[in-house]
Amino acid sequence: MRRWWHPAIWAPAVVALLVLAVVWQLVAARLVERGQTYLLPLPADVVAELVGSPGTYLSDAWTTLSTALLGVLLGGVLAAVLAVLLSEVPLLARAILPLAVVLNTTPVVAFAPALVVAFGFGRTPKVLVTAVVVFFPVLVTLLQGLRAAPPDALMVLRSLRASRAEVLLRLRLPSALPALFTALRVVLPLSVVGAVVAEFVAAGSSSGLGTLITTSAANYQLAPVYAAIIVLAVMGVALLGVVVAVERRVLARYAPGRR
Amino acid sequence: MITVRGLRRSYPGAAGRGAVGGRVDGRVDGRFDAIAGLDLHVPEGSFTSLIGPSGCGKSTLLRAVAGLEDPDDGEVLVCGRPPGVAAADKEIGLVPQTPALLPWLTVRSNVELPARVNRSADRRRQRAGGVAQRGDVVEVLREVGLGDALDRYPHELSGGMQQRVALARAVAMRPRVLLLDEPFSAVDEITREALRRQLLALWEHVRTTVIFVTHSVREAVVLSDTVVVMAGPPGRVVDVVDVGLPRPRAGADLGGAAMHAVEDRLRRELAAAWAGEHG
Ligand SMILES: Nc1ncnc2c1ncn2[C@@H]1O[C@H](COP(=O)(O)OP(=O)(O)OP(=O)(O)O)[C@@H](O)[C@H]1O
Ligand SMILES: [Mg+2]
Repeated sequence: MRRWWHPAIWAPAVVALLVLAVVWQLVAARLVERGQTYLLPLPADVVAELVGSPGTYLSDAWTTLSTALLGVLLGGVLAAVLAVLLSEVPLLARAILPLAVVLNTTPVVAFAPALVVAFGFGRTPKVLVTAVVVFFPVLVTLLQGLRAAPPDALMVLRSLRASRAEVLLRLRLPSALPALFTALRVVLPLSVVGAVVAEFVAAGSSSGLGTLITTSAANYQLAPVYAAIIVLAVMGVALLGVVVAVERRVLARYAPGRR
Repeated sequence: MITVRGLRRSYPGAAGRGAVGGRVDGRVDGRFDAIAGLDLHVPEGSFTSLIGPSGCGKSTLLRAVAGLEDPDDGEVLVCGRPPGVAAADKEIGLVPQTPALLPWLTVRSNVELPARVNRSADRRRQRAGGVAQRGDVVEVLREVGLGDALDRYPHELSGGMQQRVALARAVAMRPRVLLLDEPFSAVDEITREALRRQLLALWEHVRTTVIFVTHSVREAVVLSDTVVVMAGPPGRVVDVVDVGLPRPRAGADLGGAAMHAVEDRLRRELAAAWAGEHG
Protein backbone atom coordinates (compact mmCIF):
# COMPACT_ATOMS: atom_id res chain seq x y z
CA MET A 1 0.00 0.00 0.00
CA ARG A 2 1.27 3.49 -0.82
CA ARG A 3 1.59 5.76 2.20
CA TRP A 4 0.53 9.37 2.35
CA TRP A 5 4.08 10.60 2.79
CA HIS A 6 5.06 9.14 -0.55
CA PRO A 7 5.49 12.08 -3.00
CA ALA A 8 3.32 10.34 -5.57
CA ILE A 9 0.43 10.71 -3.14
CA TRP A 10 0.74 14.31 -1.99
CA ALA A 11 2.69 15.95 -4.80
CA PRO A 12 -0.23 16.35 -7.27
CA ALA A 13 -2.42 17.99 -4.65
CA VAL A 14 0.36 20.36 -3.57
CA VAL A 15 1.05 21.33 -7.18
CA ALA A 16 -2.64 22.00 -7.76
CA LEU A 17 -2.76 24.12 -4.63
CA LEU A 18 0.26 26.14 -5.74
CA VAL A 19 -1.25 26.69 -9.16
CA LEU A 20 -4.43 27.87 -7.49
CA ALA A 21 -2.49 30.28 -5.29
CA VAL A 22 -0.62 31.68 -8.30
CA VAL A 23 -3.83 32.14 -10.29
CA TRP A 24 -5.42 33.78 -7.28
CA GLN A 25 -2.45 36.13 -6.88
CA LEU A 26 -2.52 37.09 -10.57
CA VAL A 27 -6.25 37.68 -10.70
CA ALA A 28 -6.34 39.59 -7.39
CA ALA A 29 -3.36 41.75 -8.36
CA ARG A 30 -5.01 42.58 -11.67
CA LEU A 31 -8.27 43.52 -9.96
CA VAL A 32 -6.48 45.73 -7.42
CA GLU A 33 -4.65 47.42 -10.29
CA ARG A 34 -7.98 48.34 -11.82
CA GLY A 35 -9.17 49.64 -8.48
CA GLN A 36 -11.71 46.84 -7.94
CA THR A 37 -10.62 46.09 -4.39
CA TYR A 38 -13.90 44.56 -3.26
CA LEU A 39 -13.80 41.49 -5.49
CA LEU A 40 -10.87 39.45 -4.25
CA PRO A 41 -8.24 40.15 -1.59
CA LEU A 42 -4.59 39.47 -2.25
CA PRO A 43 -3.39 36.13 -0.89
CA ALA A 44 -0.68 38.00 0.98
CA ASP A 45 -3.31 40.09 2.78
CA VAL A 46 -5.21 36.97 3.77
CA VAL A 47 -2.08 35.30 5.07
CA ALA A 48 -1.13 38.47 6.95
CA GLU A 49 -4.59 38.51 8.47
CA LEU A 50 -4.23 34.92 9.66
CA VAL A 51 -0.70 35.38 10.97
CA GLY A 52 -1.54 38.75 12.48
CA SER A 53 -4.22 37.52 14.87
CA PRO A 54 -4.05 33.73 15.13
CA GLY A 55 -5.72 33.85 18.55
CA THR A 56 -8.95 35.28 17.17
CA TYR A 57 -9.13 32.71 14.43
CA LEU A 58 -8.35 29.86 16.78
CA SER A 59 -10.99 30.88 19.30
CA ASP A 60 -13.58 31.53 16.56
CA ALA A 61 -12.69 28.20 14.98
CA TRP A 62 -13.12 26.48 18.33
CA THR A 63 -16.54 28.11 18.81
CA THR A 64 -17.72 26.88 15.42
CA LEU A 65 -16.09 23.49 15.75
CA SER A 66 -17.50 22.81 19.20
CA THR A 67 -20.96 23.84 18.01
CA ALA A 68 -20.60 21.47 15.08
CA LEU A 69 -19.38 18.59 17.22
CA LEU A 70 -22.09 19.08 19.84
CA GLY A 71 -24.60 19.04 17.00
CA VAL A 72 -23.12 15.82 15.63
CA LEU A 73 -23.27 14.29 19.07
CA LEU A 74 -26.86 15.31 19.69
CA GLY A 75 -28.19 14.60 16.19
CA GLY A 76 -26.09 11.48 15.78
CA VAL A 77 -27.10 9.87 19.05
CA LEU A 78 -30.79 10.63 18.51
CA ALA A 79 -30.61 9.33 14.94
CA ALA A 80 -28.79 6.18 16.05
CA VAL A 81 -31.39 5.46 18.72
CA LEU A 82 -34.21 5.99 16.23
CA ALA A 83 -32.41 3.84 13.64
CA VAL A 84 -32.21 0.95 16.10
CA LEU A 85 -35.85 1.42 17.01
CA LEU A 86 -36.93 1.47 13.37
CA SER A 87 -34.87 -1.58 12.50
CA GLU A 88 -36.53 -3.48 15.33
CA VAL A 89 -40.10 -2.33 14.66
CA PRO A 90 -40.84 -2.61 10.93
CA LEU A 91 -44.26 -1.02 11.33
CA LEU A 92 -42.70 2.10 12.78
CA ALA A 93 -40.14 2.10 9.97
CA ARG A 94 -42.91 1.98 7.37
CA ALA A 95 -44.57 4.93 9.06
CA ILE A 96 -41.53 7.12 9.60
CA LEU A 97 -39.04 6.17 6.94
CA PRO A 98 -40.73 7.82 3.93
CA LEU A 99 -40.81 11.07 5.86
CA ALA A 100 -37.15 10.67 6.81
CA VAL A 101 -36.17 10.02 3.21
CA VAL A 102 -37.98 13.17 2.07
CA LEU A 103 -36.39 15.25 4.81
CA ASN A 104 -32.99 13.76 4.01
CA THR A 105 -33.20 15.33 0.55
CA THR A 106 -34.53 18.63 1.90
CA PRO A 107 -32.00 21.35 2.69
CA VAL A 108 -32.81 21.35 6.37
CA VAL A 109 -30.48 24.31 7.03
CA ALA A 110 -33.57 26.23 5.94
CA PHE A 111 -34.87 25.54 9.45
CA ALA A 112 -32.11 27.72 10.85
CA PRO A 113 -34.01 31.05 11.01
CA ALA A 114 -37.00 29.37 12.62
CA LEU A 115 -34.79 27.75 15.25
CA VAL A 116 -33.10 31.06 15.99
CA VAL A 117 -36.49 32.68 16.44
CA ALA A 118 -37.51 29.89 18.77
CA PHE A 119 -34.32 29.58 20.82
CA GLY A 120 -32.66 32.99 20.70
CA PHE A 121 -29.12 33.95 19.87
CA GLY A 122 -27.19 31.71 22.25
CA ARG A 123 -25.52 28.45 21.45
CA THR A 124 -28.68 26.31 21.65
CA PRO A 125 -30.19 27.15 18.24
CA LYS A 126 -26.82 26.66 16.53
CA VAL A 127 -26.31 23.23 18.04
CA LEU A 128 -29.89 22.41 17.11
CA VAL A 129 -29.44 23.47 13.49
CA THR A 130 -26.35 21.31 13.25
CA ALA A 131 -28.15 18.42 14.91
CA VAL A 132 -31.00 18.70 12.42
CA VAL A 133 -28.56 18.77 9.52
CA VAL A 134 -26.82 15.68 10.86
CA PHE A 135 -29.89 13.73 11.90
CA PHE A 136 -31.35 12.44 8.65
CA PRO A 137 -28.20 11.29 6.89
CA VAL A 138 -27.20 9.36 10.00
CA LEU A 139 -30.68 7.87 10.38
CA VAL A 140 -30.99 6.71 6.79
CA THR A 141 -27.44 5.38 6.44
CA LEU A 142 -27.38 3.65 9.80
CA LEU A 143 -30.73 2.02 9.19
CA GLN A 144 -29.41 0.60 5.95
CA GLY A 145 -26.41 -0.72 7.85
CA LEU A 146 -28.52 -2.32 10.56
CA ARG A 147 -30.62 -4.03 7.92
CA ALA A 148 -27.57 -5.24 6.02
CA ALA A 149 -26.65 -7.87 8.60
CA PRO A 150 -25.68 -11.03 6.68
CA PRO A 151 -28.81 -13.18 6.34
CA ASP A 152 -27.09 -16.51 6.98
CA ALA A 153 -25.58 -15.29 10.25
CA LEU A 154 -28.99 -13.96 11.18
CA MET A 155 -30.47 -17.36 10.42
CA VAL A 156 -27.93 -19.09 12.67
CA LEU A 157 -28.75 -16.78 15.59
CA ARG A 158 -32.48 -17.22 15.04
CA SER A 159 -32.11 -21.00 14.97
CA LEU A 160 -30.65 -20.65 18.48
CA ARG A 161 -33.51 -18.40 19.50
CA ALA A 162 -31.15 -15.61 20.41
CA SER A 163 -33.14 -12.70 21.84
CA ARG A 164 -33.62 -9.50 19.87
CA ALA A 165 -31.19 -7.71 22.13
CA GLU A 166 -28.60 -10.43 21.56
CA VAL A 167 -29.04 -10.27 17.79
CA LEU A 168 -28.75 -6.50 17.95
CA LEU A 169 -25.64 -6.44 20.10
CA ARG A 170 -23.79 -9.37 18.64
CA LEU A 171 -24.68 -9.03 14.99
CA ARG A 172 -26.63 -5.99 13.84
CA LEU A 173 -24.69 -3.23 15.56
CA PRO A 174 -21.24 -4.53 14.65
CA SER A 175 -22.40 -5.14 11.06
CA ALA A 176 -23.60 -1.53 10.94
CA LEU A 177 -20.18 -0.07 11.78
CA PRO A 178 -19.16 0.48 8.14
CA ALA A 179 -22.42 2.36 7.64
CA LEU A 180 -21.74 4.42 10.75
CA PHE A 181 -18.44 5.57 9.30
CA THR A 182 -20.00 6.28 5.93
CA ALA A 183 -22.48 8.47 7.77
CA LEU A 184 -19.76 10.21 9.77
CA ARG A 185 -17.77 10.96 6.64
CA VAL A 186 -20.81 12.70 5.17
CA VAL A 187 -22.02 14.31 8.32
CA LEU A 188 -18.92 15.81 9.95
CA PRO A 189 -18.15 18.23 7.11
CA LEU A 190 -21.88 18.86 6.83
CA SER A 191 -22.03 19.74 10.53
CA VAL A 192 -19.55 22.57 9.95
CA VAL A 193 -21.85 23.89 7.23
CA GLY A 194 -24.74 23.70 9.68
CA ALA A 195 -22.86 25.55 12.39
CA VAL A 196 -21.71 28.30 10.00
CA VAL A 197 -25.18 28.80 8.54
CA ALA A 198 -26.60 29.00 12.04
CA GLU A 199 -24.04 31.69 12.87
CA PHE A 200 -24.97 33.58 9.71
CA VAL A 201 -28.59 33.55 10.68
CA ALA A 202 -28.11 34.41 14.34
CA ALA A 203 -26.49 37.73 13.47
CA GLY A 204 -25.24 39.54 16.52
CA SER A 205 -23.77 36.53 18.18
CA SER A 206 -20.34 37.23 19.54
CA SER A 207 -18.00 34.63 18.08
CA GLY A 208 -17.57 31.87 15.56
CA LEU A 209 -16.17 31.83 12.03
CA GLY A 210 -19.63 32.31 10.52
CA THR A 211 -20.13 35.42 12.62
CA LEU A 212 -16.68 36.66 11.67
CA ILE A 213 -17.55 36.22 8.00
CA THR A 214 -20.84 38.12 8.19
CA THR A 215 -19.51 41.00 10.27
CA SER A 216 -16.36 41.39 8.15
CA ALA A 217 -18.30 41.22 4.91
CA ALA A 218 -20.72 43.83 6.21
CA ASN A 219 -17.71 46.12 6.71
CA TYR A 220 -16.26 45.37 3.26
CA GLN A 221 -13.27 43.62 4.78
CA LEU A 222 -12.58 40.74 2.47
CA ALA A 223 -9.29 39.48 3.90
CA PRO A 224 -10.86 38.19 7.17
CA VAL A 225 -13.67 36.60 5.17
CA TYR A 226 -11.25 34.60 3.09
CA ALA A 227 -9.08 33.84 6.09
CA ALA A 228 -12.11 32.40 7.86
CA ILE A 229 -12.99 30.35 4.79
CA ILE A 230 -9.49 28.89 4.72
CA VAL A 231 -9.75 27.99 8.40
CA LEU A 232 -13.12 26.32 7.71
CA ALA A 233 -11.62 24.32 4.85
CA VAL A 234 -8.75 23.14 7.02
CA MET A 235 -11.24 22.21 9.72
CA GLY A 236 -13.30 20.15 7.30
CA VAL A 237 -10.26 18.32 5.98
CA ALA A 238 -9.01 17.65 9.50
CA LEU A 239 -12.38 16.23 10.57
CA LEU A 240 -12.48 13.99 7.54
CA GLY A 241 -8.93 12.88 8.18
CA VAL A 242 -9.75 11.90 11.74
CA VAL A 243 -12.80 9.91 10.65
CA VAL A 244 -10.90 8.10 7.93
CA ALA A 245 -8.06 7.24 10.31
CA VAL A 246 -10.40 5.88 12.98
CA GLU A 247 -12.48 4.11 10.34
CA ARG A 248 -9.42 2.34 8.99
CA ARG A 249 -8.54 1.03 12.43
CA VAL A 250 -12.03 -0.06 13.36
CA LEU A 251 -12.97 -1.62 10.05
CA ALA A 252 -9.70 -3.54 9.88
CA ARG A 253 -11.21 -5.49 12.73
CA TYR A 254 -14.92 -5.36 12.07
CA ALA A 255 -15.03 -5.58 8.30
CA PRO A 256 -11.68 -6.94 7.15
CA GLY A 257 -11.20 -7.56 3.46
CA ARG A 258 -13.64 -4.87 2.43
CA ARG A 259 -10.96 -2.93 0.65
CA MET B 1 -37.22 -37.99 15.67
CA ILE B 2 -38.00 -35.49 12.95
CA THR B 3 -41.48 -35.87 11.56
CA VAL B 4 -43.02 -33.79 8.82
CA ARG B 5 -46.66 -34.36 8.01
CA GLY B 6 -48.52 -32.75 5.13
CA LEU B 7 -46.32 -29.68 5.24
CA ARG B 8 -47.32 -26.76 3.06
CA ARG B 9 -45.45 -23.49 2.95
CA SER B 10 -46.45 -20.73 0.59
CA TYR B 11 -45.01 -17.34 -0.21
CA PRO B 12 -46.74 -14.29 -1.55
CA GLY B 13 -45.70 -14.72 -5.17
CA ALA B 14 -46.20 -12.97 -8.44
CA ALA B 15 -49.30 -14.29 -10.18
CA GLY B 16 -48.49 -17.04 -12.64
CA ARG B 17 -45.12 -17.76 -11.11
CA GLY B 18 -46.20 -21.30 -10.41
CA ALA B 19 -46.87 -21.81 -14.09
CA VAL B 20 -43.22 -21.68 -15.13
CA GLY B 21 -42.52 -24.48 -17.59
CA GLY B 22 -46.14 -24.87 -18.60
CA ARG B 23 -47.29 -26.35 -15.30
CA VAL B 24 -50.28 -24.49 -14.01
CA ASP B 25 -50.47 -23.85 -10.32
CA GLY B 26 -53.99 -24.32 -9.13
CA ARG B 27 -53.99 -21.47 -6.68
CA VAL B 28 -56.07 -18.39 -7.16
CA ASP B 29 -54.94 -16.23 -4.27
CA GLY B 30 -51.68 -15.28 -5.94
CA ARG B 31 -49.62 -17.21 -3.43
CA PHE B 32 -46.94 -19.58 -4.47
CA ASP B 33 -46.46 -22.98 -2.83
CA ALA B 34 -42.78 -23.64 -2.22
CA ILE B 35 -43.72 -26.88 -0.46
CA ALA B 36 -47.02 -28.72 -0.52
CA GLY B 37 -48.14 -32.03 0.99
CA LEU B 38 -44.68 -33.01 2.10
CA ASP B 39 -44.24 -36.03 4.37
CA LEU B 40 -40.93 -37.07 5.84
CA HIS B 41 -39.65 -39.12 8.74
CA VAL B 42 -36.07 -39.00 9.91
CA PRO B 43 -35.20 -41.57 12.59
CA GLU B 44 -33.15 -40.64 15.63
CA GLY B 45 -29.42 -40.66 15.06
CA SER B 46 -29.65 -41.19 11.32
CA PHE B 47 -27.98 -39.26 8.56
CA THR B 48 -30.44 -38.20 5.88
CA SER B 49 -29.65 -36.27 2.73
CA LEU B 50 -32.10 -34.16 0.76
CA ILE B 51 -31.47 -33.99 -2.94
CA GLY B 52 -33.53 -32.42 -5.69
CA PRO B 53 -33.58 -29.83 -8.45
CA SER B 54 -32.86 -26.22 -7.65
CA GLY B 55 -35.90 -24.41 -6.30
CA CYS B 56 -37.71 -27.57 -5.20
CA GLY B 57 -37.96 -26.38 -1.61
CA LYS B 58 -35.05 -28.05 0.16
CA SER B 59 -33.93 -24.91 1.97
CA THR B 60 -37.51 -24.05 2.81
CA LEU B 61 -37.99 -27.50 4.35
CA LEU B 62 -34.79 -27.11 6.34
CA ARG B 63 -35.88 -23.71 7.63
CA ALA B 64 -39.23 -25.18 8.62
CA VAL B 65 -37.48 -27.93 10.58
CA ALA B 66 -35.30 -25.30 12.25
CA GLY B 67 -38.43 -23.43 13.31
CA LEU B 68 -37.60 -20.47 11.09
CA GLU B 69 -40.71 -20.84 8.92
CA ASP B 70 -44.22 -21.43 10.12
CA PRO B 71 -46.14 -24.03 8.14
CA ASP B 72 -49.28 -22.87 6.36
CA ASP B 73 -50.59 -26.41 6.69
CA GLY B 74 -49.48 -29.62 8.29
CA GLU B 75 -46.97 -30.00 11.07
CA VAL B 76 -43.32 -30.44 11.83
CA LEU B 77 -42.13 -32.19 14.96
CA VAL B 78 -38.59 -32.30 16.29
CA CYS B 79 -38.16 -34.80 19.13
CA GLY B 80 -41.95 -34.82 19.36
CA ARG B 81 -42.15 -31.07 19.88
CA PRO B 82 -42.75 -28.13 17.61
CA PRO B 83 -39.45 -26.95 16.10
CA GLY B 84 -39.72 -23.58 17.82
CA VAL B 85 -39.69 -25.29 21.22
CA ALA B 86 -36.70 -27.45 20.29
CA ALA B 87 -34.91 -24.36 18.98
CA ALA B 88 -35.63 -22.49 22.20
CA ASP B 89 -33.71 -25.27 23.97
CA LYS B 90 -30.85 -24.88 21.48
CA GLU B 91 -31.34 -28.41 20.26
CA ILE B 92 -31.02 -27.48 16.61
CA GLY B 93 -27.65 -26.81 15.00
CA LEU B 94 -27.67 -25.06 11.66
CA VAL B 95 -24.92 -24.86 9.06
CA PRO B 96 -25.98 -22.49 6.30
CA GLN B 97 -24.68 -22.38 2.76
CA THR B 98 -22.16 -19.64 3.53
CA PRO B 99 -20.00 -20.01 6.65
CA ALA B 100 -21.64 -16.87 8.09
CA LEU B 101 -18.84 -16.33 10.59
CA LEU B 102 -18.61 -13.00 12.37
CA PRO B 103 -15.49 -11.30 11.00
CA TRP B 104 -14.73 -9.45 14.23
CA LEU B 105 -14.57 -12.64 16.31
CA THR B 106 -11.75 -15.17 16.43
CA VAL B 107 -12.38 -18.76 15.38
CA ARG B 108 -12.78 -19.75 19.01
CA SER B 109 -15.20 -16.91 19.78
CA ASN B 110 -17.24 -17.70 16.70
CA VAL B 111 -17.66 -21.27 17.88
CA GLU B 112 -18.50 -20.04 21.38
CA LEU B 113 -21.22 -17.76 20.04
CA PRO B 114 -24.08 -20.29 20.43
CA ALA B 115 -23.15 -20.70 24.08
CA ARG B 116 -23.30 -16.95 24.63
CA VAL B 117 -26.80 -16.37 23.33
CA ASN B 118 -30.09 -17.65 24.72
CA ARG B 119 -28.50 -18.70 27.98
CA SER B 120 -31.80 -19.58 29.56
CA ALA B 121 -31.77 -22.71 27.39
CA ASP B 122 -28.60 -23.85 29.12
CA ARG B 123 -30.02 -23.07 32.55
CA ARG B 124 -33.10 -25.11 31.73
CA ARG B 125 -30.96 -27.96 30.54
CA GLN B 126 -28.93 -27.86 33.74
CA ARG B 127 -31.99 -27.78 35.95
CA ALA B 128 -33.41 -30.73 34.08
CA GLY B 129 -30.47 -32.76 35.31
CA GLY B 130 -27.71 -31.51 33.05
CA VAL B 131 -27.85 -34.64 30.93
CA ALA B 132 -26.25 -33.99 27.61
CA GLN B 133 -23.18 -31.87 28.23
CA ARG B 134 -22.48 -29.06 25.83
CA GLY B 135 -19.38 -29.93 23.85
CA ASP B 136 -15.99 -28.44 24.46
CA VAL B 137 -15.23 -25.75 21.91
CA VAL B 138 -11.50 -26.33 21.67
CA GLU B 139 -11.94 -30.07 21.42
CA VAL B 140 -14.46 -29.80 18.60
CA LEU B 141 -12.21 -27.38 16.74
CA ARG B 142 -9.34 -29.83 17.11
CA GLU B 143 -11.49 -32.57 15.72
CA VAL B 144 -12.13 -30.61 12.54
CA GLY B 145 -8.41 -29.91 12.26
CA LEU B 146 -8.48 -26.32 13.45
CA GLY B 147 -6.64 -26.74 16.74
CA ASP B 148 -3.96 -24.37 15.50
CA ALA B 149 -6.35 -21.70 14.26
CA LEU B 150 -8.17 -20.90 17.50
CA ASP B 151 -7.06 -17.29 17.68
CA ARG B 152 -7.17 -16.50 14.00
CA TYR B 153 -9.83 -14.40 12.34
CA PRO B 154 -12.16 -15.72 9.64
CA HIS B 155 -10.65 -13.63 6.85
CA GLU B 156 -7.32 -15.31 7.51
CA LEU B 157 -8.81 -18.73 6.73
CA SER B 158 -9.50 -20.52 3.47
CA GLY B 159 -13.09 -21.15 2.44
CA GLY B 160 -12.84 -24.79 3.47
CA MET B 161 -11.50 -23.85 6.90
CA GLN B 162 -14.26 -21.29 7.36
CA GLN B 163 -16.85 -23.94 6.57
CA ARG B 164 -15.27 -26.22 9.16
CA VAL B 165 -15.57 -23.44 11.73
CA ALA B 166 -19.24 -23.14 10.84
CA LEU B 167 -19.58 -26.89 11.30
CA ALA B 168 -17.81 -26.73 14.66
CA ARG B 169 -20.07 -23.85 15.72
CA ALA B 170 -23.15 -25.95 15.04
CA VAL B 171 -21.79 -29.13 16.63
CA ALA B 172 -20.09 -27.63 19.69
CA MET B 173 -23.31 -27.21 21.61
CA ARG B 174 -24.25 -30.84 20.98
CA PRO B 175 -27.56 -30.24 19.27
CA ARG B 176 -29.91 -33.17 18.95
CA VAL B 177 -30.55 -32.19 15.36
CA LEU B 178 -27.98 -30.95 12.87
CA LEU B 179 -29.21 -29.23 9.72
CA LEU B 180 -26.81 -28.50 6.89
CA ASP B 181 -27.80 -26.57 3.77
CA GLU B 182 -25.33 -27.29 0.96
CA PRO B 183 -22.49 -26.46 3.32
CA PHE B 184 -19.72 -27.57 0.96
CA SER B 185 -21.01 -26.13 -2.28
CA ALA B 186 -18.55 -23.24 -2.46
CA VAL B 187 -15.29 -25.20 -2.17
CA ASP B 188 -13.29 -27.20 -4.67
CA GLU B 189 -13.75 -30.94 -5.13
CA ILE B 190 -10.66 -32.07 -3.19
CA THR B 191 -11.43 -29.82 -0.22
CA ARG B 192 -14.98 -30.99 -0.42
CA GLU B 193 -13.97 -34.62 -0.04
CA ALA B 194 -11.85 -33.74 2.98
CA LEU B 195 -14.78 -31.86 4.48
CA ARG B 196 -17.05 -34.87 3.97
CA ARG B 197 -14.61 -37.12 5.76
CA GLN B 198 -14.38 -34.68 8.63
CA LEU B 199 -18.12 -34.35 8.89
CA LEU B 200 -18.45 -38.14 8.95
CA ALA B 201 -15.73 -38.53 11.56
CA LEU B 202 -17.36 -35.88 13.70
CA TRP B 203 -20.81 -37.37 13.31
CA GLU B 204 -19.64 -40.90 13.98
CA HIS B 205 -18.87 -39.90 17.51
CA VAL B 206 -21.41 -37.15 18.14
CA ARG B 207 -24.30 -39.08 16.58
CA THR B 208 -26.91 -36.41 16.27
CA THR B 209 -29.74 -36.67 13.81
CA VAL B 210 -28.62 -35.05 10.58
CA ILE B 211 -30.43 -33.57 7.60
CA PHE B 212 -28.00 -32.64 4.89
CA VAL B 213 -29.01 -30.78 1.74
CA THR B 214 -26.83 -31.33 -1.28
CA HIS B 215 -26.82 -31.22 -5.07
CA SER B 216 -24.23 -33.95 -5.33
CA VAL B 217 -25.44 -37.55 -5.71
CA ARG B 218 -22.00 -38.82 -4.75
CA GLU B 219 -21.98 -36.71 -1.60
CA ALA B 220 -25.46 -37.86 -0.61
CA VAL B 221 -24.55 -41.52 -1.05
CA VAL B 222 -21.19 -41.31 0.67
CA LEU B 223 -22.59 -39.60 3.73
CA SER B 224 -26.11 -40.85 4.30
CA ASP B 225 -28.13 -43.68 5.68
CA THR B 226 -31.08 -42.43 3.68
CA VAL B 227 -31.36 -40.20 0.64
CA VAL B 228 -34.61 -38.33 0.15
CA VAL B 229 -35.30 -37.27 -3.43
CA MET B 230 -37.46 -34.18 -3.78
CA ALA B 231 -39.21 -32.58 -6.73
CA GLY B 232 -40.98 -29.29 -7.03
CA PRO B 233 -42.06 -26.61 -6.66
CA PRO B 234 -44.31 -27.25 -4.91
CA GLY B 235 -41.76 -29.29 -3.00
CA ARG B 236 -42.61 -32.90 -2.23
CA VAL B 237 -40.82 -36.17 -1.59
CA VAL B 238 -40.69 -38.44 -4.63
CA ASP B 239 -38.54 -41.22 -3.22
CA VAL B 240 -36.70 -42.36 -0.13
CA VAL B 241 -33.65 -44.49 -0.85
CA ASP B 242 -31.80 -46.50 1.76
CA VAL B 243 -28.09 -46.41 1.01
CA GLY B 244 -27.22 -49.50 3.04
CA LEU B 245 -23.46 -49.13 2.80
CA PRO B 246 -21.43 -50.26 5.82
CA ARG B 247 -20.15 -47.83 8.42
CA PRO B 248 -17.86 -46.37 9.60
CA ARG B 249 -17.16 -44.75 6.28
CA ALA B 250 -14.93 -41.90 7.38
CA GLY B 251 -11.67 -43.68 6.67
CA ALA B 252 -13.01 -46.31 4.31
CA ASP B 253 -12.34 -46.30 0.60
CA LEU B 254 -15.82 -46.20 -0.80
CA GLY B 255 -16.82 -47.44 -4.18
CA GLY B 256 -17.85 -50.70 -5.68
CA ALA B 257 -20.95 -52.09 -7.26
CA ALA B 258 -23.35 -51.49 -4.36
CA MET B 259 -22.55 -47.81 -4.22
CA HIS B 260 -22.76 -47.34 -7.97
CA ALA B 261 -26.15 -49.06 -8.05
CA VAL B 262 -27.50 -46.59 -5.50
CA GLU B 263 -25.93 -43.66 -7.33
CA ASP B 264 -27.41 -44.75 -10.65
CA ARG B 265 -30.85 -45.08 -9.16
CA LEU B 266 -30.63 -41.61 -7.64
CA ARG B 267 -29.37 -40.07 -10.87
CA ARG B 268 -32.33 -41.52 -12.78
CA GLU B 269 -34.77 -40.21 -10.24
CA LEU B 270 -33.21 -36.80 -10.19
CA ALA B 271 -33.35 -36.64 -13.96
CA ALA B 272 -37.03 -37.56 -13.78
CA ALA B 273 -37.70 -34.93 -11.11
CA TRP B 274 -35.88 -32.36 -13.15
CA ALA B 275 -37.72 -33.27 -16.35
CA GLY B 276 -40.97 -33.10 -14.40
CA GLU B 277 -40.31 -29.43 -13.72
CA HIS B 278 -38.71 -28.36 -16.94
CA GLY B 279 -39.78 -30.87 -19.65
N1 LIG C 1 -38.73 -15.89 1.15
C1 LIG C 1 -39.25 -16.30 -0.01
N2 LIG C 1 -40.15 -15.54 -0.68
C2 LIG C 1 -40.67 -15.95 -1.85
N3 LIG C 1 -40.38 -17.11 -2.44
C3 LIG C 1 -39.49 -17.92 -1.84
C4 LIG C 1 -38.87 -17.56 -0.59
N4 LIG C 1 -38.04 -18.55 -0.23
C5 LIG C 1 -38.11 -19.47 -1.19
N5 LIG C 1 -38.99 -19.12 -2.16
C6 LIG C 1 -39.33 -19.91 -3.34
O1 LIG C 1 -39.63 -21.19 -2.91
C7 LIG C 1 -39.09 -22.17 -3.78
C8 LIG C 1 -38.20 -23.10 -3.01
O2 LIG C 1 -37.06 -22.40 -2.58
P1 LIG C 1 -35.88 -23.11 -1.80
O3 LIG C 1 -34.87 -22.06 -1.53
O4 LIG C 1 -36.42 -23.87 -0.67
O5 LIG C 1 -35.33 -24.11 -2.91
P2 LIG C 1 -34.08 -25.06 -2.85
O6 LIG C 1 -34.55 -26.42 -3.14
O7 LIG C 1 -33.33 -24.85 -1.60
O8 LIG C 1 -33.23 -24.54 -4.09
P3 LIG C 1 -31.65 -24.52 -4.26
O9 LIG C 1 -31.24 -25.92 -4.53
O10 LIG C 1 -31.43 -23.63 -5.44
O11 LIG C 1 -31.07 -23.96 -3.01
C9 LIG C 1 -38.33 -21.43 -4.86
O12 LIG C 1 -39.13 -21.38 -6.02
C10 LIG C 1 -38.14 -20.05 -4.28
O13 LIG C 1 -38.18 -19.09 -5.31
MG1 LIG D 1 -31.44 -23.98 -1.11
